Amino acid sequence: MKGWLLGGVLLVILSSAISAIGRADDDTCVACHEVDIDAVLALPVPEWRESVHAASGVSCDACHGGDPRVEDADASMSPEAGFMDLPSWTEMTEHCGACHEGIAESYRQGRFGAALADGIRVATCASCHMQEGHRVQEAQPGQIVTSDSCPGCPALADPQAAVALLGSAREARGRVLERLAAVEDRGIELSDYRARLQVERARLARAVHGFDDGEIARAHAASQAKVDEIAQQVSAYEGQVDRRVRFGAALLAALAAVCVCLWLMLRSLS
Amino acid sequence: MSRSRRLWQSLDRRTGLGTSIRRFAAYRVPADTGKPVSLGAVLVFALLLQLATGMLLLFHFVPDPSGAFESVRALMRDVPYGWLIRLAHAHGASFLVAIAFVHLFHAAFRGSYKDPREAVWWSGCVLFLAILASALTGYILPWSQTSFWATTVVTASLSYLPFVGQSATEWVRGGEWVGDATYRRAFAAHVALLPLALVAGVAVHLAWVRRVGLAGRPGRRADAEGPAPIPVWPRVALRAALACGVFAMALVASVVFAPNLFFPVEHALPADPFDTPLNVKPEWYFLWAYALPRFMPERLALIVQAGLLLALFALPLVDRSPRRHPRDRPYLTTVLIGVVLAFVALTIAGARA
Ligand code: HEC
Ligand code: HEC
Ligand code: HEC
Ligand code: HEC
Repeated sequence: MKGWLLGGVLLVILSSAISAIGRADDDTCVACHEVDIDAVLALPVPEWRESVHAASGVSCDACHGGDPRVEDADASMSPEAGFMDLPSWTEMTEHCGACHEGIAESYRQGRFGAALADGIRVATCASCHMQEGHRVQEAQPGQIVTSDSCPGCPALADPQAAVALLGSAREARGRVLERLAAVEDRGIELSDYRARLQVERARLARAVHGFDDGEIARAHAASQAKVDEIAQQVSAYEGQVDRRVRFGAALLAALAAVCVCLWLMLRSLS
Repeated sequence: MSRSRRLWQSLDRRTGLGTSIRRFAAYRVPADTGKPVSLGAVLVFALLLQLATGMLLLFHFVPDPSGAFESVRALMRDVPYGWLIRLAHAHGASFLVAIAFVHLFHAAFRGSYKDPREAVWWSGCVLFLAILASALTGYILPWSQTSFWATTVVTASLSYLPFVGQSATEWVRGGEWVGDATYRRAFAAHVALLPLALVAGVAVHLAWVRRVGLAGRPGRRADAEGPAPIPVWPRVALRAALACGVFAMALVASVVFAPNLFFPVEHALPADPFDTPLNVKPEWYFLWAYALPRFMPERLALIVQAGLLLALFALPLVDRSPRRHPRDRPYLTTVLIGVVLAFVALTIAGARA
């Protein structure tokens, strides 16, 4: 009897445990800004909801500081709780660089960083990535030129060439990613190759944020070679999944033959 | 007498092998046994397959959080036929659970738990729980994102227990957090404790079945006589073999043509304690429990689950009339159909949530 009771308790625990999975906590920053206040202050919420940051669980307090568990506005947005003033354009690199360290590093060391240090107003992270406010999306090659805001960009001699390079790199990665996804659909997990492609993208992105034509071209060539290498390894796996399917079909046919024999034997009995 | 025949006879004289086979072949069971499918036979077959593939996996698998994911990846990519063994084991677990569910409900509908088969029913219930526990602990072993986070949540929920909550969580985890100690517990349970329990349990279950006989299709009235019993060989044995063959085909088909059928996307990512996936869902056979609290208060859901479990074991004590035909016990049949429908509906709700 004891064994059964124990088993019972265990099953209840297991299933109730599983039912508790996946429940999000409430975030007072989001809750209050979403409804209560004026249009400007509420706008960030719907924008942010569509952003990569929201998708990755980067919430208001991750950028602005403050305590997202406190309901009171003053307490929630008090400096004691870590709330910070809005970053000025000179502080933006540090603001975003808190998480995007590598990018911020190459930005600082690149031409824009040097100009910024001299007090010249250049494009900052938000100029390129927050043109639609908090709706920060996956970075696009075209974002390297902010022609409206910065006519005659001081950094790049040939911005269009850079856009084209970034575009072709993106396409090349996209093609490999597609093939990779097809292989994964057929049962070979390749998340490490996915990560390697991501590394190549980040490597190129670091070069981009130095805003130097030559650097970007060099980084592009290097990353292209790596992407080709990855593509080759993926094609080996494509061959492997094909062989698996052939093997599986043969095995199925053999089993089907056995089943038919058994069925015939059964029928012959009656 | 040919030489092989002499060899066989001398073997039989020493081991009784041939005699047991003959005795088994002549054992009489109800004429409709294995019609339309021999679920029990398929369950034994599936369980043996799990044991066999599981042992093969152990030759390559690295049972440690630091190496488990990599070793499963190597099995799936580099070890010859490693993919077949691993997927057969992982998919086989889902098949095993599914067939166990059907076997259990089949027995319930037929009233196969009635006097004198209560012990058979109870041993079956224990086996059922052991199968679920095996599936759950096995899910931890590849140490993927889903392994890690499902384990975290499952063990965390122990803390809702009155009085002993926190210490129970830490006891199961072997520490404050899910980690190496938790993993080792799951591994020990999955490859030693539970397989032993299952093998012993199946032996007991079958011994008791043999002792009291199979229930067979219930007659419309309690005293109705079915057709005369028939020996296991050839008809029943062939039916069982055919059912196992069809099962093997289904398994191979899913392994080869739908390899990711039972895996959520996060199961293809290594465990990362610092990256909580947005939605950790349990495997399909626990989706009903996952969906339950969406329709009722948490506590009530807990009581419902406890009640179901109690009812499972209490069934032979509650329904004691000798009538077995579903139409002779309309209340219970209605309740059972309700449970099955609710299970299906909740599973769908859980999958959609
Ligand atoms: C109870 C409502 C409430 C909560 C909770 C709340 N805010 Fe605010 N927030 C306001 C109001 C009202 C303003 C505008 C008045 C002001 O600046 O104090 C504001 C202003 C802001 C501003 C603009 C400040 C500026 O200098 O222009 C930011 C950024 C901000 N909130 C972020 C946050 C973050 C991050 C959190 C959570 C840690 C949060 N808020 C929680 C109501 C709230
Ligand atoms: C990725 C970092 C990041 C996140 C996440 C973020 N913000 Fe902001 N927020 C900024 C930056 C940077 C600015 C300043 C924009 C500028 O100067 O152009 C800003 C500006 C604001 C302002 C000032 C008004 C405006 O639109 O300029 C408010 C209010 C605000 N944020 C609220 C929020 C709230 C509420 C959330 C959560 C839903 C949030 N922010 C999430 C980075 C972030
Ligand atoms: C002049 C416009 C511009 C400025 C200024 C800029 N970026 Fe970018 N950013 C881009 C472009 C273009 C890409 C690359 C798109 C691609 O990969 O094709 C990019 C890519 C990125 C990425 C994706 C990198 C990855 O790993 O794939 C991040 C993150 C990012 N930027 C953050 C920042 C931050 C933080 C700053 C401020 C320090 C900043 N950016 C400043 C244009 C800009
Ligand atoms: C609290 C940490 C954090 C801060 C602060 C932060 N980000 Fe992000 N950001 C992330 C994460 C996490 C992601 C999603 C994962 C990734 O792609 O790297 C992301 C993604 C991005 C992307 C898309 C990258 C891609 O793959 O194309 C851009 C662009 C970006 N952030 C820009 C910014 C800008 C601009 C700021 C400053 C206003 C900022 N981030 C501040 C954490 C942060």
